[in-house]
Amino acid sequence: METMTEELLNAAACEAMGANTAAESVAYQQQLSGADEGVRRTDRELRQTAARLSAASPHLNPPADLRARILEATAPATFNMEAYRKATGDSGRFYRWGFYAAMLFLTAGAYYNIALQGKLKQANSAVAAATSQVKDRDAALRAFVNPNTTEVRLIDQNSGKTYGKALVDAKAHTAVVILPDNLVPPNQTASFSYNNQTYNTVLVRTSGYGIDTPAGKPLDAILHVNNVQPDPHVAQVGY
Amino acid sequence: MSRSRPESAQLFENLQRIARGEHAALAQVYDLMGSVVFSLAVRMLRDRSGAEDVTQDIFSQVWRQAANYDTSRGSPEAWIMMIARTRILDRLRSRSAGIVLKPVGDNLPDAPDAEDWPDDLAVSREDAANVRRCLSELPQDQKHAIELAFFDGLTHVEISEKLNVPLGTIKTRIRLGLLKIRDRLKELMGEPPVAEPLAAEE
Repeated sequence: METMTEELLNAAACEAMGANTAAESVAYQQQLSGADEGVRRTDRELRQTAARLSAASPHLNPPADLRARILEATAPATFNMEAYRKATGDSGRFYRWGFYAAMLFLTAGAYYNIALQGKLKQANSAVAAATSQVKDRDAALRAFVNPNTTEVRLIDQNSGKTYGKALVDAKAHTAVVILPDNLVPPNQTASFSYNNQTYNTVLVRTSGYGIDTPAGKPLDAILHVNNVQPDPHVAQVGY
Repeated sequence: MSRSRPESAQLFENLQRIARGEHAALAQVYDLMGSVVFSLAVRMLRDRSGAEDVTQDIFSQVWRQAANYDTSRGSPEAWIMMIARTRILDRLRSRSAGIVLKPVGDNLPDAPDAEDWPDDLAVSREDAANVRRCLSELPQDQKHAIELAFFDGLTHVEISEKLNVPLGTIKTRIRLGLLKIRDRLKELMGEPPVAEPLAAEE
């Protein structure tokens, strides 16, 4: 371990005064790193003594604005929009266009939501219609196997063509009417009546099978009911 | 530079606040040390404009490195003045081949005037008076070597060439002069002297 010598003390004093050359300063620091506490203490004392020599300078007041300059130069960086605009020369146009873009995006989003809701309603309606159709077809199947139902053919009175069929339960006052899809206008359903009594009717649409009604005549005006047992009266199918 | 003075204690506390990132504390440190640093810069650079610039650099460094201050390495005043002197020396040596321009009539005080030293600085008026007294008590050759090294920023090689004195002699004068100042300051402040067997007279 390095102990104090005259040479080392010279180097320490010159180091404290900043009078060593760069190479000497490096060499001294290496010596100091391996020196004992006495050398280190002397090094500290000489550095502090040298620092005290600053007070030997005649006192001068710095310019009044130097304090503000130093504080401004060292102020922690914070984002200031106005300062940013001034520094970048930005007029705020970017932010206006950004605002417009945001509004456009929100409007488009709202429109999309509305359109989506409409599509959802349509989908729900389709699901409901499909569900209803399934129920109707189920009712038709039940009517076919129901021993109390009577099959009624719906025939064009003039041409004798069969347009469809009805399965009628006279006791329950229910009827399932089966008609081609193209003969029943959309959003309408059929109501089966017989002998001036309206039956609780389920309409089952089937795919068209090439039967068209005569032009200008409603469906119920052309239908004829036969094979109604036990009382073959004319039945009416309205819609 | 006694830590017992309220201003010195304030300086220490404010360095700790700076280390915690409190920017307002830097203003307090400047109020306590700004004129001392600026005065040294003017004395060494002999240029007010350059002194202002380097003073700003010094306090910027204090702001960045306050967390590095360690009480075992000396008083906070000494720490700041070490930073100050290093920065001033860097500037002094970097412009050694250039020309310094300064406003007409920007004359520097010729002699220290202890009466002008403010009372509210971390370095007290008494400290300043003691340092001047210690310098004035040195043998002229030691005082001259100390002043050339400290205030003019010359290396011992440059001092040797300037005074046409052997290098070893300059090193000895600097060593003896600095040790005398250290011991005399302790004496003036009522502290026990340091036994240094190698500190014999030249």
